[in-house]
Amino acid sequence: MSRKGKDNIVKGAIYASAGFTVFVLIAIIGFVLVKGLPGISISFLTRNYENKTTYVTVTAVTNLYTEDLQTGYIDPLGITLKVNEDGKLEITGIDKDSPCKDALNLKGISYPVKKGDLVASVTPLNDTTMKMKVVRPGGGIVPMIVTTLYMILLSLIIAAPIGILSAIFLIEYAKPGKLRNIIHFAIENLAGIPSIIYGLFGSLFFVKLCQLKYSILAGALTLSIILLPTIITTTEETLKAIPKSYRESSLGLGATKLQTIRRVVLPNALSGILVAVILSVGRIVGESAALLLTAGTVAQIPKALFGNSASGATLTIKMYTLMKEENDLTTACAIGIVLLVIIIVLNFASKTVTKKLLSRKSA
Amino acid sequence: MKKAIALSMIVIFAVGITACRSNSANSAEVETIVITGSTSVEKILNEMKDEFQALNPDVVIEYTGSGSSAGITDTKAGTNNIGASSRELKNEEKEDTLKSEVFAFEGIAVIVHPSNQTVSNITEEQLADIYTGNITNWSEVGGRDHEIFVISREESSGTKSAFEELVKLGDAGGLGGNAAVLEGNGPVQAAVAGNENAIGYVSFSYINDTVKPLRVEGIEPTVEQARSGNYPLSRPFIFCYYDDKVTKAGKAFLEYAVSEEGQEAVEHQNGIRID
Amino acid sequence: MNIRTVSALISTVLHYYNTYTRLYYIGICRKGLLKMVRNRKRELYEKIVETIFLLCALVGVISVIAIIIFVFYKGLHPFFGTDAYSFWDFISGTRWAPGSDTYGVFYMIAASVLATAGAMVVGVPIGVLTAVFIAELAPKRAVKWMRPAVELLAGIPSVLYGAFGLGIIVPMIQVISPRAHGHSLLAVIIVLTVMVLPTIITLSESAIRAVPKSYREASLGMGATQIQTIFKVVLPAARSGILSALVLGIGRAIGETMAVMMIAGNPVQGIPNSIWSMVRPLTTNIAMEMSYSSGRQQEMLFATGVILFLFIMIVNLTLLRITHKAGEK
Repeated sequence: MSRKGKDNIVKGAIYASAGFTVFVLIAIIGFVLVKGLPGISISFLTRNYENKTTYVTVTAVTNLYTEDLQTGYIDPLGITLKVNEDGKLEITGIDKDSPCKDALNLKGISYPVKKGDLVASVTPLNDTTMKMKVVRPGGGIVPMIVTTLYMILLSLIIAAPIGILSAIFLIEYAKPGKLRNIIHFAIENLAGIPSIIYGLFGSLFFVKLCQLKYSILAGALTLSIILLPTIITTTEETLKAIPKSYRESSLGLGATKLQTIRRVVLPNALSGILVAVILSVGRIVGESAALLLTAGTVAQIPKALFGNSASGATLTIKMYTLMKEENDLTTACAIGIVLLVIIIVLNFASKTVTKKLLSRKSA
Repeated sequence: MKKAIALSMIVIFAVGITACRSNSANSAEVETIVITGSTSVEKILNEMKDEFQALNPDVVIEYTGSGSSAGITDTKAGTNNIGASSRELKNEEKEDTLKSEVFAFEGIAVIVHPSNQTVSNITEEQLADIYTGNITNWSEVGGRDHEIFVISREESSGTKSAFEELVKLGDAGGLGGNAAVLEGNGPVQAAVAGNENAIGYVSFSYINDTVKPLRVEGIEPTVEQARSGNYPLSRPFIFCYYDDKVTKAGKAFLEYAVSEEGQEAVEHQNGIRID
Repeated sequence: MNIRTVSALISTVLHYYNTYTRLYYIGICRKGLLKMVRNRKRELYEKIVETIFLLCALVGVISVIAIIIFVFYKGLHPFFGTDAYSFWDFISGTRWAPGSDTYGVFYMIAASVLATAGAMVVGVPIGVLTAVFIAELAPKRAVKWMRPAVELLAGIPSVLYGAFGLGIIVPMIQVISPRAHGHSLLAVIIVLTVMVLPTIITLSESAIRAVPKSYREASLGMGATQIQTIFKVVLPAARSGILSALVLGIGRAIGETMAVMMIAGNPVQGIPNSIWSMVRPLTTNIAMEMSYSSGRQQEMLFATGVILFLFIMIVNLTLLRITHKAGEK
């Protein structure tokens, strides 16, 4: 076959491969969108996950019992009720001066009733007060979003400096030889270790041995080990790509090695380092196996770094548990949409920043 | 540039943590009860949890569904306050100080795809043979001529242990290699709903119109039949705990679970009360 | 004025002159000393910083060693001492039933190996060719959205691929499979391929782009076509980057847990004999039972981890050797 013929076949294969990749992307995103869009709503994005049922006492005089409640305005309480699609009574309107806003829960702490709450029961207590059972509907992903953000920040703070400095050491300081080979070998092994083994290690070492219990710190520490290879390898490739002449001319001008690194090498490597960070953030957002065994699956905002109440489910973990336990593909894909949006925003941000860096450099 | 990013990240993080600390400082006296274990008890437990937290606003209950065996192991290791299980404690798990409390019973339903018209009843022996791989075709039990897609549960599942014990699967040869292992009641229900030739078993609370429950030994899988003992596949839901690890709030919750209000929750969710 | 006064004057002047000169020289020496001290300070500073760099680089080594020690210690424990479990039974067994003290992982090894091999066989050509497309052939307009598209694919979490697998791939396979179920080796291979693609594409593309323009220009200048240039000059030059992409890809495929857990079927025994068979990869075995296992079962899970480890190390060693050979060129 002629050269041109062969070339065209190869070209065809190349185009087909690229087309396949694009097709895969569209298929996945399309599926998640189609399945998940029905689940997206303002309340999905702003509410807590768990329904919260509270008994409140309201200073109002009514003679209403639960059976008397129906759609309409309830004067003494200053609220408008409506039967929603699940057959429950929802508060669709609440007056500015409604006594429900000053409601107290059973411990005497203020618990203002809000629009959107469901009224499950009412009982008059005495002449001046009555008891109401309100359910604040959950179904939102706020706790997961916050947990994910915490995880990203915490893991990067630990992993990024270590990773970048390691890469600098490997490229700038280490001579080709035993030490470098050992470190490279270790890094490549780390990269190949499946996240489930990190989960095993993290759950035994950080959670049980270090007594951190299921917590975001245990999760973040495990994650930072996972991130090291990505950051180091990408930064290394970036540093490798900086021509030797840059360094040589800087040293030739009398700068020390450190100065050269700080003022010549690093600025040129910044875009690559940013790529490393973005890949890492993507990895963190997407990590589930390791976090499952270290950070737990409770849908709450962690209130501490470690110990009790420090566990939290990230978006991915919640998506997984939704699929696993409740088989709720709609809500799961709704979370998937949120994840996609986050990833798209991240990628876009990194591109913009890189462009700015490059333009500043050439200016 | 990098310094600025790092600095701002640290600042954001510090602010975030301080904000959270101050939040928890407001709700300083919050007691947490950690419950882990069975996924089958989830619906009942969630309702009990909601109500109990409403009655005791300073208590927070964290529940993770990781499987009955996981819950029992966690209790023994001290990583939770209460373990939830959908099967009795095994002999090797029992300990003098490990207490258990039955708070409900629930039936296990055998489900198939709604299009499986000709199969409506199944015997325990047939179930054992299907799950061990001796029977592989629906035609052997009165259905169409097609391979049976057998769905079982993960090792940790209390439902699995209870089911296998009740149909005497061990005597028939144990679980066969033809059975898919899915985690959790939800996926089993979804898999059966999505495959015309599937058979699986789930807790009663997971039956809906996407699946068709079979009669077992001629008995309908209803709450009444399970309560009366006619329906052969039912097992207890238990909480297990140590007295010194369960905390005061945990003890209160355990009492609540077997009280009238707690049992109402059991009834709402199609479980069987303990009385 | 007499001699004494004059000599007193002269000696005073001389004294001051000497002192001044001495001080002057001492001053110079001090400046020099200070410079020496400053230089040495800077040297010390640089040495300290270099040590910090070294320590950071060693964190990776320490982590690996810690993980290996942990996993291997716990994993090899059940095969020694009293009541030891036969290692051969473990490696060659085809049934996993903790309830009856049966732990055989051969069928899982087969599952993992077949699934990974399948994913690489399909994923590497497509991935590298797509990388070639983006780096060399695509018009600027296409690159503008293709690269972000691939980076997006790279960022998609594995659970999303799992949802995709469960929602689309498994039902599809159910329809075309001669068996009754969609959970199968094929489903795992498809999902793994899709997951490995972005890793391979991104890293290969970086490697290809890092090849200096001069290589291409020289080749084209000598009369080669673009395709010839790509395959005979650029790709070989980018070999080390592409190979590390491969290693990362294999690592991702062998180690993937969440996405395949819901689509593999995970039977308790049985070597997969066709792409339609259900499989239980090593990873899902660990994930499913880890949270509650104790005693021997837990140690056996770590032993499964050890097997996983050994595989990955073998892969790493082989590819590292090839990379070094290629890199030396």
